[in-house]
Amino acid sequence: MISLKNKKAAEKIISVYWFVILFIVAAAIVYMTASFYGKPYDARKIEADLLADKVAKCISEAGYLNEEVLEQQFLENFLGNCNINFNVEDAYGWREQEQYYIELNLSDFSSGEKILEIKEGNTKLKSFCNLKGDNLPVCLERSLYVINKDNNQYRADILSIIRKTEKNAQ
Amino acid sequence: MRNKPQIKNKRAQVGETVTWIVATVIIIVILAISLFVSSFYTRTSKDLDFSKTTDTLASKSFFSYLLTKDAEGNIVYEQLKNQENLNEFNGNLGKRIFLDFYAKGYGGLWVGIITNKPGYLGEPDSLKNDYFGERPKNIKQIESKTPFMNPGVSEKIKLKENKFIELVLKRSE
Repeated sequence: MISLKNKKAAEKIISVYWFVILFIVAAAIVYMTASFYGKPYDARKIEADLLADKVAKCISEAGYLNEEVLEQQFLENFLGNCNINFNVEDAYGWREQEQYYIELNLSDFSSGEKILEIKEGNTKLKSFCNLKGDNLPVCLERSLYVINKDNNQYRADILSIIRKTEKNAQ
Repeated sequence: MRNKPQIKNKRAQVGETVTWIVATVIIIVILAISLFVSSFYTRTSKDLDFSKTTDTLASKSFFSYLLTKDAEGNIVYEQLKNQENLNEFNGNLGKRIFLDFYAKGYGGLWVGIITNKPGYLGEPDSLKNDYFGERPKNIKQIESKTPFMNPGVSEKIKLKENKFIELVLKRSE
């Protein structure tokens, strides 16, 4: 009788122990899954790349510089002429604070003399580019070589910045 | 004689308890390692940095490069078409453009002549040049635009039958 009682008590303790272990393992799996799937994918690098591509397509056509870029009229509506818009969804107060910034510097390829500078979007975002941290805007600097029909060589430096930290970085 | 079996039972109980404690510790350690690894992985690898199959800026620069005229008024495309390999003008110009602009973002960069039959999907025959050296290995002519498995960007333009000028931007490994 005594040994039977002991066995039952030991079995109860072991079953409680197993439940505790089961709970710990389940909690760990839930935590791992939540931490992986709960963190959003950061698509801003791709978005910044696409923005730079869009600017490049606007200034360089079939290998030659789009000469319209040098005209004042074109520059006044640069975004519209390049079919770029900075519209964002109405979330996290994004409409009040612009989420994009583009800077284009066109210079002479040989001398480095600046020919043209275009700045569009939220200029404040540029100050974050040299900082390091998780919840910061993504900055992408890319360069392009282009010539005009008279064989003048140019270097175009494009800086594109995307903020959108609330949806892409946590 | 009566005490002997009791001592044996105690020893057995102690042994069993130690086993459970060790098992618990092992389970906790394995879970802790899993949690650490998963939290480290999620911290570093949620960027959607897709393997690009094209690089718009590099290919636009490549086209402009081929259209650039030398002092005699010959465009680079014609020079490459008529000459065996890169010459001093187009070699140095290529170096100034591509190494300055794109080497930083890629693991390897090459501009040069490849010679092979059209439709060939393997490693092409390439000519070594003084400006970019040898063509990086394991870059096949990318015909199928498949992301994720793509080792780099290859932009090539036909010069004449079985002769192409190619720009290779090899992804960092």
